[in-house]
Amino acid sequence: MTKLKHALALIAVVALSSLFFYACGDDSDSQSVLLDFEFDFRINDQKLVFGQVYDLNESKVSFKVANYYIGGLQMTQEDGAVIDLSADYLLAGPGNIFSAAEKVPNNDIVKFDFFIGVDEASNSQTETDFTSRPSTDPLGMKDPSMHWNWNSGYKFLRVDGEVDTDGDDIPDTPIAYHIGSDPLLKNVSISSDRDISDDSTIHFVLDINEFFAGVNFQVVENQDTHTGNNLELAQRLVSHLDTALSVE
Amino acid sequence: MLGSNACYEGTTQAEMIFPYSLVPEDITPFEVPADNPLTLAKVDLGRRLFNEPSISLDSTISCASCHKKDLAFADTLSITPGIHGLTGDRNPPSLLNAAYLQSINKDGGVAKLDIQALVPIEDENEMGISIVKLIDRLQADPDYSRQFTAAYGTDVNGYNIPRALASYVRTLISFDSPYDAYTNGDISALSQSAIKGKALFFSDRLNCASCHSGNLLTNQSFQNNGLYNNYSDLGRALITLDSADVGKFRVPSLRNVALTAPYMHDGSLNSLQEVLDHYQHNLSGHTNQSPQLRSFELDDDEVQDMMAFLESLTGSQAKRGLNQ
Repeated sequence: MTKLKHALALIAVVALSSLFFYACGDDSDSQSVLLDFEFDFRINDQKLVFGQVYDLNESKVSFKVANYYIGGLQMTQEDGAVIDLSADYLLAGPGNIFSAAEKVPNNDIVKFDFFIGVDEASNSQTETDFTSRPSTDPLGMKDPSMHWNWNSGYKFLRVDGEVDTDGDDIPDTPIAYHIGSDPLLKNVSISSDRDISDDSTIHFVLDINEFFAGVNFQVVENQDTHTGNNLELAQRLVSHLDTALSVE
Repeated sequence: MLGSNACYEGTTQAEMIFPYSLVPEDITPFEVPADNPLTLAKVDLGRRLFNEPSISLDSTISCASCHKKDLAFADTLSITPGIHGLTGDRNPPSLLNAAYLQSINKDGGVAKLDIQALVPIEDENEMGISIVKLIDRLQADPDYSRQFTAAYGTDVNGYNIPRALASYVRTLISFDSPYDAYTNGDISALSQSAIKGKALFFSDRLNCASCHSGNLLTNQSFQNNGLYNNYSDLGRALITLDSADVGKFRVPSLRNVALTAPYMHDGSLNSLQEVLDHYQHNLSGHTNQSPQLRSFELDDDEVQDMMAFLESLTGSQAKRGLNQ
């Protein structure tokens, strides 16, 4: 009987211990989250829809490609801790999702630091180039392409579409904005008070109106840049990223 | 990997092609990337791809459409049309000795030969097909799938398509001209006129060799040769974003130059005579014009001598259409 009592007592202790440790583990899980990243493109305060005709800067325009690279991402939390995803590249595009590999404490994020572009070594293509990366790698080969072929390097940001230039309200003149090259890498720092405890999906938002602020699409010189052939326009658009980009 | 005898995994010694087996003893062999050693299987595959119209969007244009083997792998047109008759901005260059280029394309924008083929493949004015779509197309062909697997140990992918083409291009070597024979001691290889032209070419008076130097007759620098005052094609500046590089293009090799008309980056000069006229009388004086360019006058005999020398740079195999 004494043995039975001891056995019951041992079972009770083990059971209570299990509950205790489970509770601790559960509590730990509730204090950390897995971050996801999504990428929104907004025009006229609406979600950008490819192929839809928009009024933009007094022109009828439509878009069919919108992508950009986010690199060097570091997020500072309210306690000063830094979530470092700088080893990864995020290819921002409608419908693209990037999931962080590890959970992070669910403290508010107070600052996002990153750059739009690709680091100089990767951009040079002299060692590992886009052909040697798997298609799942954001820096691998894409269709539509984010690599230049005539110029070893990546398009840091690419927006393609069409504009109406003959007054029939049908956008059918191609517009293309392909921005890259090392000097045009754009560092961005955005202050925030993002609570990630309830919603751990971070949205990077590119406002098309802000990006093309002041661009008259009827002017031929404003209808495309492949960076080197129209550097002034490429630089102007890059300067707009400060106001065009936000994080929600 | 320069002239290495090392065997590569899965490749027998007999299958390897070493750079020094393709070039004369007196010429330094070209370098081959360690991750893409030359093999017969790769060269055969690259040759097939080079002549394959299916690597263009509408299956009408192959590499050979613009790089004709009987024209030193160049073309007689200023700008060769691509798919749908579209045209780009530049004259197709000779591919002979491209294995020696330090950077690729006339503006040097492409870092290495192993990825250069993506330029014409993806250019909307040339073959106009995404490499991603081309992979699918070639993978659907069991014969190509087998040949890629034999050459690279993997099915068709974006890594081995341009590298197979580069492997073939590396074998397009031309150092067998009368000029080479003369340089190697055969004094009968050049006519008296060509010998005089050679002396002019290497003279301080003309200064041609300040840029057209070495075995390739190019120092591979980027120069503005005073072709225009306003360049619609900005050349090297497209890559460097530096206005000091506007209108600069890589100094071309003069080997086989008699086979590669028209001339200049855009094929705007139709003959060697026009080229000589340009350097004598038509320099634009562009702000970036090369300081190596000197004003000079040639009399009729000297023009003939220069022409004879330039024609002596034609390789005997290139003249026969380089039986590749």
